This record gives sequence, structure tokens and C-alpha cells, in this order.
Amino acid sequence: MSDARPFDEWCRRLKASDRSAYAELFEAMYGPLFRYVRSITGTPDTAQDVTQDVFIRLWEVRDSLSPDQSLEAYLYRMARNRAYNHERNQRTRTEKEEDVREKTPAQPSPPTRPDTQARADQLEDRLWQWIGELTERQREALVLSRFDGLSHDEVADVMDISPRTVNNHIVRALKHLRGRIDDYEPDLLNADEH
Amino acid sequence: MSTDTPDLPPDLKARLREEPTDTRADLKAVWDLLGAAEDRAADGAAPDAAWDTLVRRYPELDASPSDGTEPATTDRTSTASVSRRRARSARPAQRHSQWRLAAGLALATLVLIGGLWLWRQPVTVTAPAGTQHTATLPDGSTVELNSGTTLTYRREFQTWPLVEAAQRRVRLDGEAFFEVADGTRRFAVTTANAQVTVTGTRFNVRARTAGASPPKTDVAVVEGQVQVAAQQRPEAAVQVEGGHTSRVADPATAPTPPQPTSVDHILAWRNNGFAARAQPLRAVVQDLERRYDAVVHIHTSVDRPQAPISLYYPGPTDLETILHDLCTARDLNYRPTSRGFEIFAASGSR
Repeated sequence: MSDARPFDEWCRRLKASDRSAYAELFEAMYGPLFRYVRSITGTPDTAQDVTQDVFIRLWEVRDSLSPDQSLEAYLYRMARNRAYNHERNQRTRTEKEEDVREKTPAQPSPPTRPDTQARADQLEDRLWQWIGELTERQREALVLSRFDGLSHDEVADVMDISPRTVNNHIVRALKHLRGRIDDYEPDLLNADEH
Repeated sequence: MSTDTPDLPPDLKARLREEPTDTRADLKAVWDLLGAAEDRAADGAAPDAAWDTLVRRYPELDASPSDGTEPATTDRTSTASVSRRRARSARPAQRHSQWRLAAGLALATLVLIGGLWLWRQPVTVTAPAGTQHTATLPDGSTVELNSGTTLTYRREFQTWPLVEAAQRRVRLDGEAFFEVADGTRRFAVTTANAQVTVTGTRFNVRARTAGASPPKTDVAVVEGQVQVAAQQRPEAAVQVEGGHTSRVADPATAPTPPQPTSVDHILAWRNNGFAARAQPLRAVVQDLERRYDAVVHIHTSVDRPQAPISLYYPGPTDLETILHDLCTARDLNYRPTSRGFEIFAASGSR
């Protein structure tokens, strides 16, 4: 996946304040970063703010980007820090206001859609509901690996853990989901099994 | 990207070999099945809105020829979208046009709702500590706000644009003198615990919530008549005439019957004077702090800080003069501190 996106070249051009490189990078990375941030913050609104913030910051620090460092990993780490900071601030704020809500963790609640492909949508809804039940780290690793297509080494770099732990998070996440899918509709698993 | 199933990452594949065959197949199936959730993962991403925000913040991002040289100065907006569209066309075509239409509609709706929401936000007039402020209301009534007072009301006294509200309603936290213009609609002042209604008159409302708990509302009428009621007892309203005062001490208890009063004392603040009528020392000091935006500390050596005190200065007076008189009357001393004054017991008085 990463091969289609010339991060080294973008990095070089960004350092020279090339605005079209910035636009290309935005186009390529906004979606994946948003997905990732959302897996941490839960709500789309917050994820949008945080992701936007990452890009604002990127433009501000373009001069000091290091061509030796992976720009992609840098973006993900920036997104991660900001997302967790935001979560922390949010948590201390709501804790003061109402301790009760703390019991229900932020879940990426699936948005609703018109009822055209009800069945497919239903599965999507379920999947997101179950993804919401994972621990934050499991969800993070899964989203980065499965949806954003990062390699284990890259995920490990972003999350600042070992590739082995990445594997453990993902396997645990998959096992949890398997349990849910099995309860919901076991055929789904068998059909794909070959 | 979303429909065809990417292979398991090599590391994960290797890791799954540690699992029993059944589990391995199941987990691979789950991995594949997650493809169904991918579409939805970026729902609500709104990249266009985010891009617009970025451009608003850094207009230099707006026009961007790909060679990185300075663009011609004209036609910013179109080049902006061109630069992003150019970047976009490099990617496999996606459901963008539909998406953009939906986003456009959503944005228009949001702007409309946002505008109405903004319009519906109450207008707020504030006189911070140490200052006083006179405001004219939409109906031509005037309000003088004493220090540390906030007044809010509906824009134009309307519920929606061009729809008049049934009452001219203001909400008061603090102290204010009202000169209400005549009108057919009732003029209502809501405080933390009371409701004061009139059609046209001059009166003072004091309803401080900070410090004084529970809040009290004191109404003094100069001219005309006003109705005063506790918030939870609207039926037990009291009619207060010129030269009289009434108090609501509790939202569920009817106001006190009107008492004749010296309105001049109550309104001394309007002439930059100061008055206190048999109020506890602590309350007087709180008033002084608010009025002069200073810190006046009562030292623990002061006996009976709750004992009542009366003061009256009809005209402009400075804080130190008042403290001097106050201390003389109560046999106390005061000294300046870095942020104001401290009141303490005179040596040898105890």
C-alpha cells in the first residue's frame, strides 16, 4: 500500500513549502488518519477536529520535517498523541461533571443510513458495535493493520510497542470478534472458510 | 481497496500458525469479513470541510501550482479546488461526485441551522467588577448595571426572526436599575428565584447569586407599579408601588409585603455612592469588593463579622474613605495589602 504513496517525495516537496504536495498528501492521508483517530476518540466530530489539527500542525512544522524519518509514521504518531491528549482532557472534564458516564467507553457508533441495503448495513453496524467493545489498543492495532494497511513494523512504530505485541492485540481482537460473529450468525464464518 | 480482500499481513500469518487449524481458519474469515466494515470506517470524515477550514486558516494553501512557484494573484478559490482535484484525480475514481453533493446539501443545512442557532443565542450585557454600565434595550428601555452584574435577553425581544416574544423578558444576575419604556407587552425581569413584571416604570432589582446563598431578590420601586412573585409561586404576586420595597428570599415563598423605604439609599450606587442598610459586615465587604474591584480581607481577629452595619454615601466616594469610616464605627483597623486591604481588630480592643 505504502508504495503507491511517495512519502519521501512529499516530504521533500513539503519542506520546500510546495502546496500541491500538501494537497496531495491531504487527499491521500486524511481518510486513513481520520479512521485511525476515530478508533481512539469514538465520535466522528472529535476525529474530524483532531485530524484537521494534525494537518494544521503539519503545515506549521513543514520546515523542520526530517527526510530520514518516515513521514507516514510521523503523521500517525502525531494523530495518536493528539487523539490521546484529547481523550485525556475530555475524560478529566467529564469525570468532574459526571462520573456516571465513565462506565460506557467511547464506541465508534456506526452512523445510520437509509434502509436500502438493510442486511449488509446490519452486518456493518454489528461489526462496528463489536469493534467498539475491543480495548483501545486492540482497536487501534486492528484499524491500522486491517483498514489503513500498515505493516506490523509500522503499527509497532506508531503505537510504540513491539511487533509481537501488535500481533497479540490483533489476534485477541479477531478472537473477540469471532465470538460475536459466531453468536450472531455462525454461517458467516463457515462460508468463507477455505 | 474495500471489496477485494487483502492477504493477511505476513507477521500475522506467521503468528496464526501458532493457533489450532480451526481457529486459524476462523480468524482469517473474521479478517476477511471486516472488509464489510471498512466503507463505514471513514463515515463522517468530511475531508472537504476540513480542507476548507485549513485554507481559511492558511490562505497561502489556497492557490498552488505544482511547480511550487508563486501563483498569479487572481482567482483563488477555483485554483484551490483545482489543486486538490488534481491531487484527487491521481487516485482511483471513487463515489466523489455523489458524496460532494450530499456534503454540499449537508453543509447548507448546517449553515442555516447554525445561523438560526447563533441568532437564538441570548444577548448578554455585563458590567464587570469595578465598573458600571448603562444599556439600552431593543424597546428603548434603559438599564443601569451595577458592578458585577450580567443581564441577558432575547435578541430584539423576539423568539424567532420577526416573531415578537409575548413578553419583554430579561434575566438578571446582580443589581440593576430599570427605566422601562411604556409598551403593550409586559416587561419581565427574571432572577434566580423571582419574577418582576411591569408595563412601564422605574425600579431597582438586586439579585446577587455569587456568595450570598441562597440567592435573594430585592426590588425597590421609584415610580409606577411592579408585580413581584417568587418563581414557584406566580399566583402569590405582590404589588409594589413607588417608594416601597419587597424581597423574595426563596423561590417557593411569597414575597414580603411592600415596605416603605428610602429609595435614595438603595439607588446610591447610581450616583457612584454607596449604601448599606443594617447588613452584616461580610456582606458589606463583598459589595465593596465588587464595586471597587479590590480584595478586602477580614482578618480572623475581627469579632462578629456578621454583625450588621449601616453606611450611606450619596455621592462619589473612594474605597479607603468607606473603610476608614467603617473601621472607626466598629473600632477596627485596616491596612493596605498588595491587592487591596485587610481589616483587623484594633490593638488593645480585645
